[in-house]
Amino acid sequence: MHLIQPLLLVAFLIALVVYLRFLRSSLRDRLLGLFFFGIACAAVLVPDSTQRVADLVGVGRGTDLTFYLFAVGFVFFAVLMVSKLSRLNRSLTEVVRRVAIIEAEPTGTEHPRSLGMDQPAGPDRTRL
Amino acid sequence: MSNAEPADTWVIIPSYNDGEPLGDVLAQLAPFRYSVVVVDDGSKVPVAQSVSRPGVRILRHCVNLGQGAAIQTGIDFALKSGAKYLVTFDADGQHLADEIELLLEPLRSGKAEVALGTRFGGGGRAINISRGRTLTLKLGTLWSRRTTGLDITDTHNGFRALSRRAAGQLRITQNRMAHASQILEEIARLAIPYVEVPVTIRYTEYSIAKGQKLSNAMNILWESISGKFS
Repeated sequence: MHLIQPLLLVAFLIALVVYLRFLRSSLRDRLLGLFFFGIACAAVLVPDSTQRVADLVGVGRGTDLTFYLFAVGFVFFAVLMVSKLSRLNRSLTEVVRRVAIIEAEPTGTEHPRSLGMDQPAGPDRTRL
Repeated sequence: MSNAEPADTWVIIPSYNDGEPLGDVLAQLAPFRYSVVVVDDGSKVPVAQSVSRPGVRILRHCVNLGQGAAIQTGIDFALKSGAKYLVTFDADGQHLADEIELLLEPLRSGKAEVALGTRFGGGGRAINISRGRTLTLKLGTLWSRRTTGLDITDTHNGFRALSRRAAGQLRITQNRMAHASQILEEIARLAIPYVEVPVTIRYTEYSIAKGQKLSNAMNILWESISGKFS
């Protein structure tokens, strides 16, 4: 076993533990994380395996295949982040807006909960 | 005046770091019997209650979100307060308070639900406008005409009036500058009856320094396009 192998395995393991321990996510996401962890470990422990898959799909070297997959994964990740960010931004807008309106209320006349209920709801009003 | 019963016409002024000019705008509006709401969009120095006058409400976004978001907050608040007519008005002194009536007339007479100010169409004026800005706005107008199909002579003009119905129908989700295009798109999508009303836009040193840089047109275009996919 080369020195790089345990190093990579430890790095993957830390990432997995951090993900499972500190980031709450759905069971599906956790299983997906475990799945990718498994694949990564297999690729490290059996270096030949990426080469065999590469031959199978018509890529010259296993390293190249790994790189391509990484690129694809990164693009997915970026798109996911951008859409998450924009959803977060919409929620933030809604919160800041409501705080601004509640603060402007003459105190005690109205329960904050009734906010916005007396307006006709547009089609997108409730979608954040 | 309007201490007890707020007037049913609400003037919505989004403001970000406008100091004195905002005070001037409020002074300009004071003789009229309008309810006024200033939406302070997270200015570094909060808009002081001291600039406030009877009938003026000040709302504050605790973080800066953008002009589009500020206008929508103002709309929400005005609707909640029972507004019948809503006017969007710039904080930098570009618009004339005594022209608000011109925008309200077609709404009151039931001719339209939205009145859009135009600085280029029949009798509209743009004082002190630069050639570059005129060109950019004309190109922007062409673009807006193409993308919305609306028959308009101006775009990104912040001076407009909406009926309660129209204001309740459209929803601005473009937080930053592309909201002006979005309002036009919403008018087209919801088939809201609209008219254009010639108005005066007065470019002052302050409004030129503060307002849209011409180079920003590309940003607005980008916001506008990318906003459709998020």
